[in-house]
Amino acid sequence: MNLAFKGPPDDGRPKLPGSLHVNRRLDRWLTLHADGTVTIRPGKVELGQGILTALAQIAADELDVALAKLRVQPAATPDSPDEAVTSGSLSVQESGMALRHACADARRICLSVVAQRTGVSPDDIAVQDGDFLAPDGRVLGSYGGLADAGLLAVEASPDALPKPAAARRIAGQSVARLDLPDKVFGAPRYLHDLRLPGMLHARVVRPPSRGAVLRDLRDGALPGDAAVLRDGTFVAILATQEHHAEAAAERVARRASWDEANTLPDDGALEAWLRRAPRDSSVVAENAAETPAPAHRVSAAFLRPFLAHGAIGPSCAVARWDGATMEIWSHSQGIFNLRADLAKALRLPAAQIVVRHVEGSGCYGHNGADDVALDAALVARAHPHRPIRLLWTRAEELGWSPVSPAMLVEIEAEADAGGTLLAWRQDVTSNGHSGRPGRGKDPTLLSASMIAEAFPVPLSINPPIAGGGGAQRNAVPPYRVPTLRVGLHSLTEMPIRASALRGLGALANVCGTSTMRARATCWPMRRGWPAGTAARSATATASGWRCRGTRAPAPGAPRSPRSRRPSASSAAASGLRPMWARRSTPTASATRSRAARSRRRPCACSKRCATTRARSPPMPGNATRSCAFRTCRRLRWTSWRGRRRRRSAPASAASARPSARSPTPSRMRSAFGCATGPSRPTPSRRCSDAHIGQHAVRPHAADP
Amino acid sequence: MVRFELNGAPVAPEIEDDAPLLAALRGPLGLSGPRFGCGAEQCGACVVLLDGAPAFACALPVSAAAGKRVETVEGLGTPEAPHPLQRAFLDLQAGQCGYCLSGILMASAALLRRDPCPTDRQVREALDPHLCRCGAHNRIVQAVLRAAASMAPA
Repeated sequence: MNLAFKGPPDDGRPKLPGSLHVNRRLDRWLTLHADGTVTIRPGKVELGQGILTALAQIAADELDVALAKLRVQPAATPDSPDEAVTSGSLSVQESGMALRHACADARRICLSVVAQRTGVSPDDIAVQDGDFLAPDGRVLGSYGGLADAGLLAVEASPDALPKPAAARRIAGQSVARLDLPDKVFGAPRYLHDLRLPGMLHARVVRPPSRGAVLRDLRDGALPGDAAVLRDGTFVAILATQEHHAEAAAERVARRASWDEANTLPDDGALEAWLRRAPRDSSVVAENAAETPAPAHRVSAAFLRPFLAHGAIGPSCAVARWDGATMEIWSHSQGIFNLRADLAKALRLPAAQIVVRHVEGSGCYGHNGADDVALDAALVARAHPHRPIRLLWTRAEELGWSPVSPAMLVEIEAEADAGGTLLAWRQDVTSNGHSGRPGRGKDPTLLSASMIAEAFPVPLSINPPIAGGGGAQRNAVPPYRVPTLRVGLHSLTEMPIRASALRGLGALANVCGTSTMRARATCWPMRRGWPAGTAARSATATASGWRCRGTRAPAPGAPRSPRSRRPSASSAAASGLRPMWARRSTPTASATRSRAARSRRRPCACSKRCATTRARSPPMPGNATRSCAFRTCRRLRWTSWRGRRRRRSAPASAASARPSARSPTPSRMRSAFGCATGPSRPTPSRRCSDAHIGQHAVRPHAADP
Repeated sequence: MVRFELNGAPVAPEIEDDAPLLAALRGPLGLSGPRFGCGAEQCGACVVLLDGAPAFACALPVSAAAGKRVETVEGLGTPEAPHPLQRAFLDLQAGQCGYCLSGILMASAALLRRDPCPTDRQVREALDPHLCRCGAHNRIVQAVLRAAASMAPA
């Protein structure tokens, strides 16, 4: 559970900020050391987003200790507060608020003790880099001097008062990331670099397709000291040397025979599958009003395929079983949730499992990090007292990680002759966007369904809007509209494990909503549209955006041409791109002069977009200096060769062949698109960036 | 047993000749800078310099390094004496998760030796074989350009 969506539970206890409400002991959050350093223990984890640095800043500021004296302990189940999952951009909100309050309380307690000992009023004591100073400058004590007093073995008090924002000196400043030096000097920092004495390397031999059952495994020679472990359909290889395990896994894969079944929807017929698959339908939002007959109607359907995460570092875990405790090192986003599912899958009490977080590569949602922990644990259980390091292959990463589910967003909007919005109907069809571990009866971890005593694969869910939502996130348009109906159709058939990728359903919903709004710029008036729309349409007009909205055709009437410009049409057919492709590219000089007039600078993105940004000094840290089109950038270094090619291609070819309209250069496709392993599910054939295929304007189908 | 020079020191790792160079570097030679990303020469996380030229260590057999100079990010600089590239990357905070940085730093080092004053475009082209999944590209390019400027003779 992420508290920020709902606020702390109403459990009768005094309200405390963020995760402190449910983890109330101060010594769970921080420890003072005799040498003057302070250790903080956030339950949120570093995913490359720089959160540990931000949390250290908050703590240092509240304690009045130099940032250099702050130590941040990576989350671990034995001694970190349970802060659920690091997701949703909520870490400052949940962990930062908790730490701020905990540190303010620790400071208050320390000052009151020093005041009692010295007779100086706590209000008169200043704290300077951890030293307590009397008004005359005498040093009355320090945090280090109170380290052994056990002062923090108490629950946080709601009375602690954090500093006012104006008094902050460290939080809110751009400071250098604490984790980056190790990464720039190649020091061991990632879980992939963890080496324990006596460690063995392991790989998994995955089935060639989903649901395949291992029929036979021929024996044969293996390189080095490699050995095979089999538990049901779960087959693992382990060896002292990593490259032996790798080579042996390839050899064993060739010796295995499987009973396969066709379980995936046809790659080219995703939309048909989304329309056909069994579902639970519900209403997300609805209001009805008497409205006049519409003069304009526009409708569209937006299709988004399954999307892979494509983290650059394959999922990795290290596990050690000593007969009583299973110790796991993992780059999971939620170590407590992972522990809960490991307990179910291994049929062990949670108290016998310890999960420690170690950084992995960048993480953009629920990838294979949790799954690989179970794989390592299964191997470790068969080899007690030997640490087992299990690394997924690139093919496994793309073929077996949870993926963001395919989505179909259908929208129909109506307006009167004056352009006032009258009705909005939106239907969202998708699998669940949340299949994270630790929340259901059965474990969601991949290999739990492959071991001999297998568990069923739990259906991913779309949490209610109050819990952040899933497919329906941002499906309710932010417009004032008299007649509104937003429906959610959660599929009850899940051919591929689906789970969270940044923004969950928001990407497709916002793309659909925004595209509809852009279409409606031809309507003469825009009452009902949100503030700023008028300004945006003025900008659209000025910068050459073209109106593509049309009057609703009579049923059976031929479709009106959607655009006179082939480039716009082909770009529109490939989804997210319509948002910028429809605009004529402003010249560089026009952008520069506009930027100069507005005292802003042009966007730094490689697309020469028209966005400008406020002139400010470059910020170290994590801020991205790119435009709102970042989500559709292909994360490339060089200019848009693919885009130029696409523009010059005939529109008919571009719209006929999906592959032809992908601007993704071959390198990106082959690395993050096409798995080169035994298993290639539909999503892995796609670039991990978003494609949203926009379909022809057509009358809206009847609600299912 | 293959002998080569690793970051200026002669080494002879105990590993089969046909094992990947990356396995030798991360295994018997105990390095962590070169990273495994794909094993298919597609992501650039494993890039090291072989006689000064960028090479994918994940698919290169150890035997290919015989008698050659192998340089990794560990040999580039240290926290006490950072290479201008490393200093620029830290100054500009050019990285998010950082997993791709070892390879990018090595490719950039090779570029700056070849061309001490590259243009923005040349930097982007030199880094084209490298993937950064987080989106730190622009900042990385700026860091390489800054390093080039700092290395230029006054």
